[in-house]
Amino acid sequence: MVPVATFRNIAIGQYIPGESMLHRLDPRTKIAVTLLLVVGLFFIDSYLGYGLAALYIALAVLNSGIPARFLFRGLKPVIIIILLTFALNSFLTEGEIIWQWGFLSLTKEGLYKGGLLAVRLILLIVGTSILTLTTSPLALTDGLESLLRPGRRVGIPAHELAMMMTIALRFIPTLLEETEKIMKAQMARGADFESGNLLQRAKSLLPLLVPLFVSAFRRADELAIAMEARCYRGGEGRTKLKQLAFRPADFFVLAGSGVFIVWLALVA
Amino acid sequence: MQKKWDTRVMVEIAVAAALALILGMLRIYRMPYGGSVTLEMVPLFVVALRHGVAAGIWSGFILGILNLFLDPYIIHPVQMIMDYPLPFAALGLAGMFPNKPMLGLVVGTTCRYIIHVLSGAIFFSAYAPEGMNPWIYSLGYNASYIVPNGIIAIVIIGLLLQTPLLKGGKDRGAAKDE
Repeated sequence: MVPVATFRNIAIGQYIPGESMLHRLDPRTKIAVTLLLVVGLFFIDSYLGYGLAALYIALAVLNSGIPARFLFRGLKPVIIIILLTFALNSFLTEGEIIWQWGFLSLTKEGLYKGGLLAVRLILLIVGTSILTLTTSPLALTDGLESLLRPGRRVGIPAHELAMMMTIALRFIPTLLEETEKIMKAQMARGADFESGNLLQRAKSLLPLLVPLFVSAFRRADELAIAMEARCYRGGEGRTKLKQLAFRPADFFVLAGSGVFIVWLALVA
Repeated sequence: MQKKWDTRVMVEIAVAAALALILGMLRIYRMPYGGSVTLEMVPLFVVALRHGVAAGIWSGFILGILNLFLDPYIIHPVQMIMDYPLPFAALGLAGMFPNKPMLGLVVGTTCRYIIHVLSGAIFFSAYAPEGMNPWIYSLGYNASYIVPNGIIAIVIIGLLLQTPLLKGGKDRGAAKDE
């Protein structure tokens, strides 16, 4: 169990506010380019291609002004996977043996392939974390709604989805505080959340869950009443305080990155 | 969707997703082989049982997208979809049998497991050297954390079924499906 004291300091999300060009780009542009990059990286098949892609990502990082340590922090949980990918491929790919120890044989082809896959993983993780580092979850939600809007015709509830996500994001800090408060209250009454086997712990969590759920659903009820009292009736004709604006810079970034990534994927 | 959404159900779906996200950060038990047991599945099950399959699926879908926006970990284009929105949305299937909630929970958990297994196998076959069987690895690894998570969620829902939260859920106001 996470100690109650540290629970408060859990950072939600990775977004780092800033004023760079990358921060100010339309979220739709950034989502589109990131998706293209994720797919594009899979088609690249050479170190030269990955070098160019790395250069492109480095340029984006420089522009965003995000300290490199935040990017490396994102890599930390996957470092084992990256190393394992590299090692497995290096030793288990058949080819020209350069070094042998027992049944393990390091091959030239394996080193090449393992390195390529490791670089691909690193670029994927760094490339996608730029999006969440420079774009707030709310902006991403707005962008997603706008991108999904054409799907309304085939039944994708773009507005409802975005509304629910916005509400969820707004509720996270409130419910976090509530959780902490209830945990402390129950601990003051002698509740023990931290010992026993799996089943005992599950049972001991009931005094936390029941009040938490009841209060959360009561809040939901109050919000629904408040929304209906203000005549909320779905997405048709709703306006926004902050309109998304697709500016010339977005056009250049989208067109430039699009052409570059497609070229990389097909040629390099 | 041309059908009008019930505002109250919409807000409950959102709040359940937020609760799931928070409970997902509270690790209640660390498994010996790395996975951890959390209660993130419980709020999704509660919504699915209170408001039906569609509400449960949307709640899970939203949880997945929130996780994707807050803490993404993308290593493969297909993995992105199969690790974030889909498995949690599958948990919503728990609302399938309103009269046999336990059966629904097992179905929901199983569907989540299947999607994770597929995702793991796809990832593994993209990154592992040829000749290694991706299925065995994926079946085992995913079972190591989904089975205990599923058991604990089902036990807790079983206990919650005795409380007004789920007992009277159906007749609390405008609680219709969607």
